[in-house]
Amino acid sequence: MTSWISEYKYSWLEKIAINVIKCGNIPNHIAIIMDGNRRFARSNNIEKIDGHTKGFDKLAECLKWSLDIGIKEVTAFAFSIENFKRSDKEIEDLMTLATYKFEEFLQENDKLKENGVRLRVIGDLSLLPPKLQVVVSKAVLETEENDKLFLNIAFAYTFRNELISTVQKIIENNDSHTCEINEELIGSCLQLQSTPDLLLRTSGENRLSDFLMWQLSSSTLYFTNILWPQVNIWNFLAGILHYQLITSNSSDMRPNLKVPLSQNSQHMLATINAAKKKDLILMSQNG
Amino acid sequence: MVNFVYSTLWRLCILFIEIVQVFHRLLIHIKYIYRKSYDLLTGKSFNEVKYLEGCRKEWQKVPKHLLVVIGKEETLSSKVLSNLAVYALLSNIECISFYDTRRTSRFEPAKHIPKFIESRQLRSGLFLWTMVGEKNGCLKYKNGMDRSIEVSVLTENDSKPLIAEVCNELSESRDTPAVQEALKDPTKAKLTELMDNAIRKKLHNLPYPELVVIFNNYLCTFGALPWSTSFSEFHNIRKGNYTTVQDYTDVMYRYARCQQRFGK
Repeated sequence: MTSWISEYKYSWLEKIAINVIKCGNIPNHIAIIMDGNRRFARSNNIEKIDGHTKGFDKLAECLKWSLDIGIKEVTAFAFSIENFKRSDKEIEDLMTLATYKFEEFLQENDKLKENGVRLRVIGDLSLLPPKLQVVVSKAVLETEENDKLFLNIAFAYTFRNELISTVQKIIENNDSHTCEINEELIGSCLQLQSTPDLLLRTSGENRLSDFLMWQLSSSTLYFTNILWPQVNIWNFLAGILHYQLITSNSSDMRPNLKVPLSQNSQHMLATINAAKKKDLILMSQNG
Repeated sequence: MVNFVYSTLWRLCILFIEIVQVFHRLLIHIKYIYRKSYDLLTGKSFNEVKYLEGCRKEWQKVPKHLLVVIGKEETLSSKVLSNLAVYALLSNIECISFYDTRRTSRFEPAKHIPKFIESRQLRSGLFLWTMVGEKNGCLKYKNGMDRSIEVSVLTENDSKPLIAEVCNELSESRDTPAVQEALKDPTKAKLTELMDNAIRKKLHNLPYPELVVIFNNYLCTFGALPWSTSFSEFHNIRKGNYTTVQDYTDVMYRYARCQQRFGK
């Protein structure tokens, strides 16, 4: 069984590197597109699903590094709605792996509490098998009091789907057209409301693949050729250092201006958030 | 004491990388000056048209729509940007858009027209640039056909605020049968189609940009067209005013090599 928070043992050189990096500006929130599991499996002559398992192990290591460096929020792109185009066998294997991993997550509750890890899952959960929906909802509700590291997993997610769901909810709640819909309101009603400072994408692709297109508007993008399961702490630190170089030079890294929402918009936001929580509770009770 | 050592090591590390970057920038300047002086001394200028024609044959694909994003702090001359539009035209790209996030000295296709280009305004913010004449004898094309490219200028208002505008319009027309039907559709396909059509219409019906070139010190989308760039390739040019046709072709080669999987 692989833990969600890896028991990674640092070498003395890695410990020094982490302490050095911690002297610079640490991103609060990093987003990761974990790409290259299947290519890793092909190049190592192992089954695709074993490549995905290695990919999960790497995420667990990444969480450990993030906790130790002082990163507060990690958002990982685990499964896109576009991935449903893959073969039935691969999708089935992936769903089984995900169910198994979330069940392990529930068993690790004490360790997660100790590390203050709060899980949030973004995406269209209704597209997932019922069993997985139940486990995911339980895991999310179980950790909602934790507040040291926010782990957001994008599962059955695309930005367009997220935006359309948001727009639908806003229109449905805007009965009397009293509320002016602006970018601040849309941003506040999205499933992920915080904006990543840094995006890491592995495997040499220079695309965002419909991941957090709204939230990444002022983020630093860092693309690396390495396949996700091959990422090591030095690659991870290189990404952070890249961010530090930019923030040490740039005076205007966060161009987003926060405009206070009107009373109507706040009411709409509260209604939408309450509906999201209600959905999760209902799903977790279905088990 | 230990913290002081770590902090010093971090500063040294940043300093070292910055020194390397300064040397890199210096090398770019030297190369640029060398090429210009060579052209000046020999009286021959580098034939960009011929060079592009040669490269074009090697590219397996070119984007229909090239989006150029100009970072907030970028000091980029309009000449570089208009040259880029000409390179795109010569590469058979159908449209090029400039998403200029700068407060001042923005690119204006009506004003910054290069030689041998005739500009015609199709709509507000959309221009048709056509290659005309062969004044220096080197711009002749097969069958005497003129080549054209649609040039548009986009601002930050065409990004998130445009999506909000579409959302407002949908909300205002929520009682119409089309919107009612879209809201009831559990697959969300109809609402997606309504949104998509409305966004496209507001963006001059330009196709989605397959390639985004960012002029900035680091890669950042600056919020450029979040709906339309979901599957675009993002590449960075960090040479500012020293950008040459080779930098453009480097990006095009990288684009031509990549394969989209669309989740498969």
